[in-house]
Amino acid sequence: MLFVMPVPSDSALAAEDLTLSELVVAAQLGDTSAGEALARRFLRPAYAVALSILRRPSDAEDVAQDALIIALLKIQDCRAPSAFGAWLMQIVRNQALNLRSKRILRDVPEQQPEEIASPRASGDTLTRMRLLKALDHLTEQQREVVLLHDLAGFHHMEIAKTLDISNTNSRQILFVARAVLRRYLER
Amino acid sequence: MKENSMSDEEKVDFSCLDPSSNAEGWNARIGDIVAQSQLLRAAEHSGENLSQLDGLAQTERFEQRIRVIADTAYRKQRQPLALRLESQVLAAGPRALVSGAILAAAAWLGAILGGGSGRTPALESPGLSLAMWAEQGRVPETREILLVIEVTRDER
Repeated sequence: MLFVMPVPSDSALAAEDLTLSELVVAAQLGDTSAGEALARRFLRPAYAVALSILRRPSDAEDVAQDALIIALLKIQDCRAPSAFGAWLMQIVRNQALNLRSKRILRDVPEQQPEEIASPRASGDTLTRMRLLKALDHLTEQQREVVLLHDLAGFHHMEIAKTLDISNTNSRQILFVARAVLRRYLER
Repeated sequence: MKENSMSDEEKVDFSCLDPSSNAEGWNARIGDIVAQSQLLRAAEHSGENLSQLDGLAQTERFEQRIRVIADTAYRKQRQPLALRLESQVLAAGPRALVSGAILAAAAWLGAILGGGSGRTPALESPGLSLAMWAEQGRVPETREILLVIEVTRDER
């Protein structure tokens, strides 16, 4: 087999200490460990943005993965390394919107069948379903902000840069989104 | 600082929607991303170089690439993605070489993607469909490959 799974190496550990711009430039120069570090840093935010559009965790995971593969493949096209996050999220959005269009064409229900058939404990499944239903009551931008902050662990400055909004705007959107979610989750 | 800590206290708990809580699966995904992007890049580059090689070498290399991609699809359980790669490889190869190489790789693909028994329904088997396309002397389009795979997966 010609294909070998990458394992974390010393250079991969060192890559974690680089700034975002340095990582992107290193990946553009063909450094695999930099690519891995980018994937590690951005897979969760990519999933958060995909989930805000698709609202099906399994689809969002696949879209996040595919978007990062595309991003690493096309890394030379990222002309502003410090804006890698915003560039990646545009790919995520495009991939997610494509999948959503296909879903509509194939008449696939928005609700996840796996939520009902899940072998997980019923309490956990119910919590997932309640969260997903509550997210339905937010706008797409509110979902992006709250998921990037509370699920992916982004700070407001990172959210502002990624979504091209102001820092203050990010805080305001998060405040409103949480209030709406709490209202539906406490019912 | 104070604002940040207040903000953290009010966090909505999304942990049950967070796939990274399954560390093993999450790390596998990250490995997959790096590996697939490398594979795609390699496929793109070898596609560019293919026309510079002599006929026999091209055929062998072409078949080898299809096998690598099929094997990756099986190991990673990522058939749609792998088949998109495959269609790119097919598109990159000179048409005259496609028929012979696909015929040689068809049984391999059929055995891997059509089920482990070695006996697959004619129309639903990706391997046999590829052979059929090869007999027709044409390169299947991506949507045709994906359709066959979807039918196969749905019927499993």
